[in-house]
Amino acid sequence: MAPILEVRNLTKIYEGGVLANHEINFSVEEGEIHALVGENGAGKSTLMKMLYGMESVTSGQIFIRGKEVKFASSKEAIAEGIGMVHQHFMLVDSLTGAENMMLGIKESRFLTDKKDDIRVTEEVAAQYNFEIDAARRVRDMSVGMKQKLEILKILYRGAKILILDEPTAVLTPQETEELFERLVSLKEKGMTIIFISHKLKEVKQISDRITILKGGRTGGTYCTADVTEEEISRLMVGRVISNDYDKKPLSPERELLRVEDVSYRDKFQVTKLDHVSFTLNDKEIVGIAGVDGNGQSELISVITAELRMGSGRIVLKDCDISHASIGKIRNIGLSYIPEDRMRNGCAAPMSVEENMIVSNIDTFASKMKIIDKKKVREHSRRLIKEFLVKTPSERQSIKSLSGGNIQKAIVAREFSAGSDVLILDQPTRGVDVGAISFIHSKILEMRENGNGILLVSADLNELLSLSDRILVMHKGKIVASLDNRTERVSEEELGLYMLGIKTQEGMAV
Amino acid sequence: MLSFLVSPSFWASVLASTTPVLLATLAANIMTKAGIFNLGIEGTMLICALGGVLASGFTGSLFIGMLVGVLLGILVSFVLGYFILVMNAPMNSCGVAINLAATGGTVFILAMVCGSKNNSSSLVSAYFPNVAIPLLKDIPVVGQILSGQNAVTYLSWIFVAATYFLLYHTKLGLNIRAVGENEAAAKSAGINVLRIKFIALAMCGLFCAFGGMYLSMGALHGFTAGMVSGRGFLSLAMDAIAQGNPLIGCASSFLYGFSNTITVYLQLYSQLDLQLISAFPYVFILVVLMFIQLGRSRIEKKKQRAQF
Repeated sequence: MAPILEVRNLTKIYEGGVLANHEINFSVEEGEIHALVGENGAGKSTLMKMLYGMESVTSGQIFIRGKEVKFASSKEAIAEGIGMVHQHFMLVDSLTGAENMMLGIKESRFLTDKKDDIRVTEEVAAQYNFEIDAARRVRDMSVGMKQKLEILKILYRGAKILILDEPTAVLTPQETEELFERLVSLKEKGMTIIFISHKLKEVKQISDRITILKGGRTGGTYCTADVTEEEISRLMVGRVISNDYDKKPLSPERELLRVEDVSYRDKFQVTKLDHVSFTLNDKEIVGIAGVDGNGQSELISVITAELRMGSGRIVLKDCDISHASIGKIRNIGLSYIPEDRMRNGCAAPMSVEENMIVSNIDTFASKMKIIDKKKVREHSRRLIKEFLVKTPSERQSIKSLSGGNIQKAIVAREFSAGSDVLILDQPTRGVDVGAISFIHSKILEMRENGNGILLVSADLNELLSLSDRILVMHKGKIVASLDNRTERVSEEELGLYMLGIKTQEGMAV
Repeated sequence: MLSFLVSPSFWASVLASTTPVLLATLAANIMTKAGIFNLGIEGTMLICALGGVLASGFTGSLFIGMLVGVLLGILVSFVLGYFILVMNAPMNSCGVAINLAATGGTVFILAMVCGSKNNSSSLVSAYFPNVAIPLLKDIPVVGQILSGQNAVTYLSWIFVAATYFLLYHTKLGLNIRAVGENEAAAKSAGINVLRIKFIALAMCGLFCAFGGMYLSMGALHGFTAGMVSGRGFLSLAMDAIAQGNPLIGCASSFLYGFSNTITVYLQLYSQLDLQLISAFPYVFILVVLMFIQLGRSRIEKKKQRAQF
């Protein structure tokens, strides 16, 4: 039997002459979970967009069940049973779940029937064992629920082949687990799933077969059971990514940041930070571990003055910054890489060079506050070179770069600002393996230069391989402070603290 | 001095002067919901006002005049749509272009056809009749206010209800809202975005046409150069308050009608300085806006305070 989806010699050249895909060949069997892995910029998204009719095909053929298809729009792809869950959800926020579900479905009815829409949505949800609140507006839904709604939406449109574009990038670990259970049950119902990811662990866990993309070309298809994570990683980037960094032992000399007894309650009066105290010295990396939602992001927001703490004190280089403005804090010497790079990390439509100077623009301005273009250009060219940002030119708008390169540009900006304290919130989330090891090496370089680095990450491996000390947060408290310098803390031990099973003595207040 | 506030004829004029702004606001509402910022409402109204007068004047038929006015409204909206949606021209400058073309173009055509640059008094045109509503007209006070209005005024109320119903209770309305809020999502759901936007533009043209024709074939019986005099722009402000909701748009248009009429009455019945009086509607709307904004920010503050 012919495979349900086959791609032969598919090539895509963008108008600007960028070769995104070059003679891609791969096939997907019915009823399998097929992972598509590759570094950022390897051409995964372009390939999927062609399969979904969002981008035109330059040359090559697509076959569905042995029959050649040519899509002029997503509508035609949907008609052939292809459905796609985009990384950025395609939902209308002010409409309810049910209304989103029914959007664009051809029916003879002229009037909407809210009750019936909700009933149908709940029926479909029950059929696939998805729990969603169909009457709720999308803007009030959690990310996990939005994603479930998206999957249901395409199933309801008769999709047999589901394309999921990095579905776990936005999910918490618990939501990821739930998603995987649902995907497996969809597979059992006969659905074919194409799963795009660069989290090798997940790929290994969920997929049956893997196709590797590298530099816009196929790097072969493998049975997941036959390859190890290291092998996939080597095929993706052409080298083995090792997380064992050569970390020089350094002894801190002075204190940079002190957080004293900080508490914070959110608008629902829920205690998010409960008398948190710690210090950060120079020449060290302090990692903050914890299950998502245990106060890590609030802690970062309080330190960077995005949120105002309820009580407590924060001292940065001997200055009390408890009530200082964001600008003042940055001037004293704090740089920050936010978790959401597109929303808080960069100005998406602006150019790479403009994004590289926004947080220290004063150093490029004359006394009359006029920006010295030449200086900016030299600076951004140097950073692009030094931080290996792949961009056609410094004047390219930053949103057209791949996620990893955007992150590298942001890292370049923050690391070059000359601040003593660096706050990194998920610096490598949604970034490809090559960029991860590059960013890690830069972080270590900053440590050796004498910076104090506060690192929040959901990736335990990252925390363990970089941090000198690890603070574990649980329910807004720091429940453990672990020394990671000479001997590695074990993942199991960290897990016990993160889940609140264990609390270090003297830590509980 | 303010005894006119209880006279039925005052409130009847409030409704009459609300009508053109109400129709323009409705046009702006539907544009907002479809995700288009139409600066050209003013010009579209002006073109339709003249078109209706000329067509009915030459044929002697109100129906043909109305038809030509409506078709012109839709045509002008489609021209705007063609430029901004198909040719990807910037919305604002296209809207301004329509306004400029309308201001100059109407005077040019008026001068060519009627021989006057100011008005169409040389041409006898048809007009929309005032309608006395049976039963309602016999009720005291209420009858005097609600009955005997121009046919277009009643039509505008029907339009408000119909638009509200369309937006919130029909598939087409759902599609329009989806397209306006998140075009990519609508597209990926298989909605023909361009078609939906052109449908919304057609509705906008229809409302603009009646708004313009009410001025030249209802409130006045003839066209005067520049007779829309800012009502189309005002509608954008009304729509900003309503944020696309036709019912709130209706309420804010009524507010304009009220303050506009009160100005006229104050000129007749008070000794206040004329200049001061003519500033009244704008000051009044500003004050009301201030209160609305105060209310909004108080709610915001309450939310913020709850954080601590």
